[in-house]
Amino acid sequence: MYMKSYKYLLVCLCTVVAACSGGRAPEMAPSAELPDIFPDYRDVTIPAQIAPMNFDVNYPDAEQVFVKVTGSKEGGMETSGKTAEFDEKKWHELTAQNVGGELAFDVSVKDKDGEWHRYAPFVMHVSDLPLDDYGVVYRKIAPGYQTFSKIGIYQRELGSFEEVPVLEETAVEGKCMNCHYGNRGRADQFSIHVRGKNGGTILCNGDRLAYLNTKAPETQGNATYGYWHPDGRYIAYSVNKIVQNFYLDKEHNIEPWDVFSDLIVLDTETDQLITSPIVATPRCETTPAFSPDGKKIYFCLADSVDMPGGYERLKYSLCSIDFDAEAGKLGEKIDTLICAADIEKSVSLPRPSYDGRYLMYNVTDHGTSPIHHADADLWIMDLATGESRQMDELNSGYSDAYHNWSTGGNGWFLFNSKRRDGMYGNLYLSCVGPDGKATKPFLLPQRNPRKYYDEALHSFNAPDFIADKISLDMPKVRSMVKKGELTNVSVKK
Amino acid sequence: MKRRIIFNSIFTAVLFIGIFLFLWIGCPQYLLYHEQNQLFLFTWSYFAHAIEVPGGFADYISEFVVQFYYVPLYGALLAAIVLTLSQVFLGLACRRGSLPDTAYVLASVPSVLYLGAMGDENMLMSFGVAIMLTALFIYLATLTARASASTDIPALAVGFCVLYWLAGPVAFIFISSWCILRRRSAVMPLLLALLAVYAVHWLWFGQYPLSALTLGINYYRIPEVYPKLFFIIVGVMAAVPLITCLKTEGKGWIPYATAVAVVIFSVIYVPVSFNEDKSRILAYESLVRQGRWTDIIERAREEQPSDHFSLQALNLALGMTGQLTETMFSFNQNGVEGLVGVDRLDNTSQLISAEALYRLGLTNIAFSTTFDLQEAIMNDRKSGRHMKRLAECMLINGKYDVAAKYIGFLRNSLFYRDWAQQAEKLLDNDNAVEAHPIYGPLRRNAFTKEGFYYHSLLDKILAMLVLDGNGNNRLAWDYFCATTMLKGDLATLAGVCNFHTERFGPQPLPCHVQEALAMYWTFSHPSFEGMPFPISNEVKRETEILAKAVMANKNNPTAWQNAAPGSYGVYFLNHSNTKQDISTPDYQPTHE
Repeated sequence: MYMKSYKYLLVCLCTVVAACSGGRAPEMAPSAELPDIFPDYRDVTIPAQIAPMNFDVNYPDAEQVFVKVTGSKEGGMETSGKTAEFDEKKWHELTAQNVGGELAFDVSVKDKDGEWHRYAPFVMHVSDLPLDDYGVVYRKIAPGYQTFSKIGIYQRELGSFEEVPVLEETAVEGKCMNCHYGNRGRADQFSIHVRGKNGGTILCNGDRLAYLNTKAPETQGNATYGYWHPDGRYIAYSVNKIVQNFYLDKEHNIEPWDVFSDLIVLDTETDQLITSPIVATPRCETTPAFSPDGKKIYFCLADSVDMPGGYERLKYSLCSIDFDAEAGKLGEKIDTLICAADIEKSVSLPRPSYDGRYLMYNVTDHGTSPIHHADADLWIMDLATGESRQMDELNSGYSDAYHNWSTGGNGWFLFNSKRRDGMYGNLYLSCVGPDGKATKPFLLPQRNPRKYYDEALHSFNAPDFIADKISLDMPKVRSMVKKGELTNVSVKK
Repeated sequence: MKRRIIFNSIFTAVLFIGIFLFLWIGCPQYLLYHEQNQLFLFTWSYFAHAIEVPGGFADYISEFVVQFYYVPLYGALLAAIVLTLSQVFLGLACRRGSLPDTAYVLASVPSVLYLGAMGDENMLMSFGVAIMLTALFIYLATLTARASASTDIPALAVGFCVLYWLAGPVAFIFISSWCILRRRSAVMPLLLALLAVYAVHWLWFGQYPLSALTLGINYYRIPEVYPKLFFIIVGVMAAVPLITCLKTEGKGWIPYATAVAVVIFSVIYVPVSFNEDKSRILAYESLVRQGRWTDIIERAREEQPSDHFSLQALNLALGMTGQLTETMFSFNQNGVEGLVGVDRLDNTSQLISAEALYRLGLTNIAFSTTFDLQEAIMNDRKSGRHMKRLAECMLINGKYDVAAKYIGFLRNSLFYRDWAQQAEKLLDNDNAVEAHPIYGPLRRNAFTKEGFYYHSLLDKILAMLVLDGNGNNRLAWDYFCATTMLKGDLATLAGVCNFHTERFGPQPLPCHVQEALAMYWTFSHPSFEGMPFPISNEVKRETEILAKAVMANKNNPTAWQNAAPGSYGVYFLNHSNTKQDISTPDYQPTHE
């Protein structure tokens, strides 16, 4: 009797151990079919520094997946389980061994009947262009309308799955916080707007942590979209009053637009605003970005139209204005780089690469908020030739926006795309190679990607690279925000 | 001894039955309200996320319990069990000293106070569960034999740490109770515990204010808000063990007198803790949620709705039963906001409006309103009810990837699982959606033209929805007529009234529409002769009577109001001098 029980117990234990430990797939010839995986990492180009590119297979009856990875130069690794999850240490060894080469993924899947299916191997290219940034920073926010719940700014290490908060809504209770604007990924130079009662702009510049009221009596409102001058003294902002209209038809969702928008430049040493009547007009000036040499500000400019009725006629041109950092002065004239009337489209979010070679921007049919437009595509301008092209190699049928470049200047960039479901924006990375073409973008890797992305009820809003880990003096931030200890700015005369 | 056991058992049974009946019969709407502000999931990640913070386990148990509020009978039962267990554990822990039975009875006071606190719809069950867990720990502590200080103090420290993580800062009561029951000073242990909490905050919880870690993260729905009653309950619970220190000679009648006093206190205190207006509003809301349209109308007949929220519920019920344009003015109406409310950014005000927008076929706006309602839940929870509606909207709109995401969540819940499993069959299946009895018509009636939603232009939007849609959206037509009548825009109504017969067949115009058109005609004509509208003789007669009464009693509104009670004419005349608050941009639909 007892022996029988022990036998059952032994069988059960063996079953559990076998189930938990996975197992190797039997040797068999692969089919010609590539495996269907999520995220689609087939034929993507990755930096050697990236976290393990774990993936799931898209077969409903899959019980187990076995993956054998072989480096084109040297090394290899195996994994087995419900998800193709790679050991972090071995993964980094393997990618480091194969810089400039390829990793071949031989995927076998066991179905519910215990039958194995081996698929044709797919490859990931390991770029010889390093991505040396510590990680990425983004705001996690539900893609909502007028209210918000859990909201926060987080930093995620690129080489691992570690995500830690920079500032969560629990720390500044009841406040909405806007995106993090950093200076070329510097961990000690950034600003974050806090909205609501006692709202202001948290400014971190080296050792200085201040809470600014960025509205001066002479300006129309608070600072909104920002971009740092490369020397870290100035921040170009647009001052926007944004309203939203909600569409009635199912193909559209929200149309945000600016009641007014002007440009200002904040001098973080004197807390003075540099303004000019040329960029504070009844027209709409928005989303500024300094050129890599700091001598120019790119921005978008639209003629005002009767809104909201004339929303389809609201089209922004890409413009620039000179900036003299020594004198702290804006130029006298506006140059138009791309004229909205010529292309009959609207340009937004110009982002120059830090090596000064490219300018990436968004193009939509109309309006100023590409994340709300399914037709929002990424375009790239070669700043040496002035030629622009639509980045067909990476655009999707949904919004592709909120792009920016890695700080190393190696062509790596990130962007937010709603290509997965049309509503929730996720973070993708790609690289513009020497030929000027972008590689196939890949979704930010997660330890358990399907579970992570299926359960995520937030978008990765306004992502950017960070060179180092950000550390905020939370007690001080909380105290400043709670008490509303705001430092007023003034307009430079 | 046996008598004491019987007495205590009877008292506990009375407490349990009292709580259960009060929650089940007295305030089921509160239970439903709590349930719709959370979504408990049977997943490991949900549990892991919950226990990341002090008190998270109590919150997890609370949400497990609250999911059963979906069926108030089960919810009331489980809530009563939690609160009764608090009394039992605390009572058993304090059954010592000279007044054991009195202490046992008084141990019910925190539960009774908590029951009253449930009248505040933001008081979470987490607090009740935290009290129960703390009472359990106090009781368990009394089971251990008193040892020397060298073993006692580490045991207290471990007990506090474990309980603090499970139940949150209510664990401080564990320290005070332990010390009282062991006749030790509680000052130093409490100070050390505070110091430990401060260290925990400094080390790991920089994203929370210190107050959250010392007063609780999840006890109240609104973060960093701590109602007075919260402190009173904690104080009373901490004070109950003091009974064991009394050295009075125990008299047999004291426990009975205490029990009677507690019952009297409960009977008076608990009902008055539930605000009447709030209860009425939540009752309407819960009836709308359950689609109990005739119950809503019955309720409104018993007591006229006096606020926009209740009116929205009533008008939706009238609309859903085809009575809106027939009987709405037999109730007190008060403008368009009684149909659909303007945006208010909280988790309640737009609940009925969201339902109305969905039923009307304004799917996109129902989606955005529902999304905002869910995001407005102050403790960052998601809502099973709202997520289901969001998924429904996405199914109607054919946005299957987003619908699948929401359905995936609901599949891991208890009470929405069945629906989710059915809804899964509709994913990527246009034919199935179009054949669905609810989603099919809503998809066919959807807006096809590009344009924006403005609350103030609701009548025009509804007109477009009906006139440009497939034409059988009767609810939208009734809401359109109701909106124009409430606005007093009779010219618009007169301009499109022919549409009624054209789209809905040869049937008489609704009663109130006839009254409105008759009223409109009499403004510029001395008689009904030549009137192009199909108005019944009865309505004509009523209108004439009303007109005569008005002429005869210009300065006595009561007289003419009684001439045609419940008619549109009376509403119109009462509100004709009321300026409509309409300030909106022109509606400019595009892609005509």
